Amino acid sequence: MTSNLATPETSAAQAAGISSYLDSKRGLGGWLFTRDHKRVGVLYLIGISLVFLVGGALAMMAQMAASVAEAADSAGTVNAALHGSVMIFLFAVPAIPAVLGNFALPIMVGAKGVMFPRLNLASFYLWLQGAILVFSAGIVSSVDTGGAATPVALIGLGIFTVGLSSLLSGLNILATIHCKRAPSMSWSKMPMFVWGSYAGAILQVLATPMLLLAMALMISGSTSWTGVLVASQGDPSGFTEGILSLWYQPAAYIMILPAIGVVTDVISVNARKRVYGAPVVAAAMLAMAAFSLLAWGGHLFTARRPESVVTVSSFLSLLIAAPAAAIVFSWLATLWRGSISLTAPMLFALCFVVTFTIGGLASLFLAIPGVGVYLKSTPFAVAQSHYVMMGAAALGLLVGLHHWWPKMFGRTYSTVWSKAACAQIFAGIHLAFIPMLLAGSQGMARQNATHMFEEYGQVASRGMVVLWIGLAATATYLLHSLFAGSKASRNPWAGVTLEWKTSSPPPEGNFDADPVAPSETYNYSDLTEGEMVR
Amino acid sequence: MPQAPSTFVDDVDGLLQLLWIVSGFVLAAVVIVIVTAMFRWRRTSSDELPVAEGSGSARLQIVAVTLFLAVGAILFACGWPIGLDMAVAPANSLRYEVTVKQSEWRVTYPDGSEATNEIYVPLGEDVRIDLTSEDVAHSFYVPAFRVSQKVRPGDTRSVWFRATQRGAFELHCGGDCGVAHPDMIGKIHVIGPDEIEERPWVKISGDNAAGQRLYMKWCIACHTLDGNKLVGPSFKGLFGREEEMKDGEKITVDEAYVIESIKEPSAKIVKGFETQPMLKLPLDDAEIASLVEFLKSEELK
Repeated sequence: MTSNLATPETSAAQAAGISSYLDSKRGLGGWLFTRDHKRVGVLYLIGISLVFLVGGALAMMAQMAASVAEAADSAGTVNAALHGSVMIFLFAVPAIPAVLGNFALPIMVGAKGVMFPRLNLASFYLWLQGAILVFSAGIVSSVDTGGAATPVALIGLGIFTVGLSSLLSGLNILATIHCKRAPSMSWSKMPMFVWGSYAGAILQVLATPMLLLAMALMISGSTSWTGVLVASQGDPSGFTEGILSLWYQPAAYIMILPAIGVVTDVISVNARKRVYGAPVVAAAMLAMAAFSLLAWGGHLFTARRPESVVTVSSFLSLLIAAPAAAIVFSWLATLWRGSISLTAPMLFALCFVVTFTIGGLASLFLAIPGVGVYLKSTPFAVAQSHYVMMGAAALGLLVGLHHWWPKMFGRTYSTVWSKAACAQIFAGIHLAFIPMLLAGSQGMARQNATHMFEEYGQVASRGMVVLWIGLAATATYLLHSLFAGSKASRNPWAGVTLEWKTSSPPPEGNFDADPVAPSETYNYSDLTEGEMVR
Repeated sequence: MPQAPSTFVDDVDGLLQLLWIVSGFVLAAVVIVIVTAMFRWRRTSSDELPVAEGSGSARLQIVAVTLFLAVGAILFACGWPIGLDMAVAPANSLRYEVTVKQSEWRVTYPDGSEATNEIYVPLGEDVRIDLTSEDVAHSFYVPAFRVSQKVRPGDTRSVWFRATQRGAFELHCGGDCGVAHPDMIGKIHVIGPDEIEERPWVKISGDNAAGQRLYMKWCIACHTLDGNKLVGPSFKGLFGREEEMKDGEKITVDEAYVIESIKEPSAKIVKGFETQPMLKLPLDDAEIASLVEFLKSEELK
């Protein structure tokens, strides 16, 4: 049916001299000035991993401080704040669209590249610039003992720049999906990762201007850094806080929606079963995007607002649970009586399902009147946001990395190590954050250990160590595979979406021959015997 | 079973319990399906395709989601009256003002007196706290009462509660407010309504403590210690001072005069203070004696 498939033999042809995108233009210049979205994805991957290291270190330092009652000190609070900024703006929001979106998305829609390749590269450099500015601000404020005043202009400009990067990336994603799809790839045939990226990109474009505005207000001196995130020194009306919250709620969905997309596809591949109710899942992702634009009131923690707004915001937070439930239901139904293969990406995806469910349920607690406001002052709220962000952004990225690593780099990583790391990471996440959920609901205050809750803090600290070990192991075996891993086949997971029809790694133009989308997105009976090796 | 510290506790805890139960069910369902998938539906041969290959009934999905939403709506409805109750303080609550800043909760009591970090409230009475912040956003968080209210500079927010248990309860800042955040711990002392009049938040020490307490309870409403005239003459420099009575008689304040003024207030009335009669006080001789000692003390000279 598809005559121009790259077959397993083509990988051998590659070895014989037909180059992949990794070999095409050698030298640093070929990477630093690349217009190949796959290379841009790799650049982002390197940058984001480094950022994650720093953000994670800050978290460890803050948690150590907060978990020991006597040692709770100012440094812990400052580190916590920096950790939040670094992780949210530099890691969580960009990660999946920039890394996985850049690598897999164009290939999945049968495109030869993104719509605006130079803009894509510019987005990377904007992100890099923003990261440097934010780190500089962090360094300056920590040298200034006690973290008295975080340099507002530096951090504001840094976040502004990163925001701009996000907006332009979103634009590129939308344009690529709309205009660069292969002719045979109709809207109804797009896989769920594409739909998730699409929904996320809409938010990137619509919501990010609010972030830019809030940062501009901050840089211009209208309000302080603590003003933007916590209070408003020069802004009693809560105007800036309102503007930031218009971005903050959708930002969570910029992280979550593409993650949901990749997890849905990975579950489908590894259950060898079409996505249950795919149109509903796609609609649900778009609905979540729409709701998130309306639920900004949920993040107006301190502004005075009429009771009607409180009601509507809480109710909207509740409504978002509907599409989320539809998606979880679809995952379970896809698993139901499927032909389950417990590959590393599948294990990570199953971890994601559990983590996402817990995060969603915790969000429910916060949306219920009477209980929600009370819990917001506690580590319960911290744990909830981490379940969503760690669960979605971090785990989602790990799912996608494990799924597309062989495609990206043409190498396989250790099965044993990856599964062990997955178990480690899963244990780490829950050991770290379940104590916070419990302590918060039992009366602990944020960032404030008392002797009553010291055990919780210690379990959480240990959980973080376990998590770090798992993540370090992941980085190790993935890097190791680049040098010593065996060559990957074209379709190691027996997938049926377009990226598995081209070689591993793909050529610079993504396909050797024009790709033809199959008649049905998830038809596993199409697989050839050579592909069904697991 | 010990009584809950505030009227909100049972409702909030009950709702929390319900939420844990519902969440437990949902999570259990998810985990059961996943575990079943991992063991029972494991792929047995590499070319295996699943037997059940439905493309998905949208109807089933919609039913499941509607069910979930219905549960959510019920929970929302359960929380709604609680949230409403917590949001609006009863009309005749006692009004306390608390000004917050980094590492300090400064409270102003209904009668104007002030204290820092130790807040005394009467048992069984509705207390409304009007919060303002002097620097950054804080959150007035009393876990034992299940109350929490964020406040931002330039704004006033209120929170109320009715304490139903005597004791001392911790007050924390529930919002990451900066470097002193972990140190912002205050205490809410719940004491009997009659004990409140003794103003335990005022640090009373020294030899004349008993007399000072009596002054705070009985005299402070009408007699100041700083020279200002209120309903009655100030006690500053009282002993040895010459007063003119309303009938023109001039006397020098001594112990006998003070004791008489307490036991028979209408006997001699100082000129200029004729309008408001002083009530007879139910103090015994020992109490009067300590009050006199206090009024004679160095601080008031």
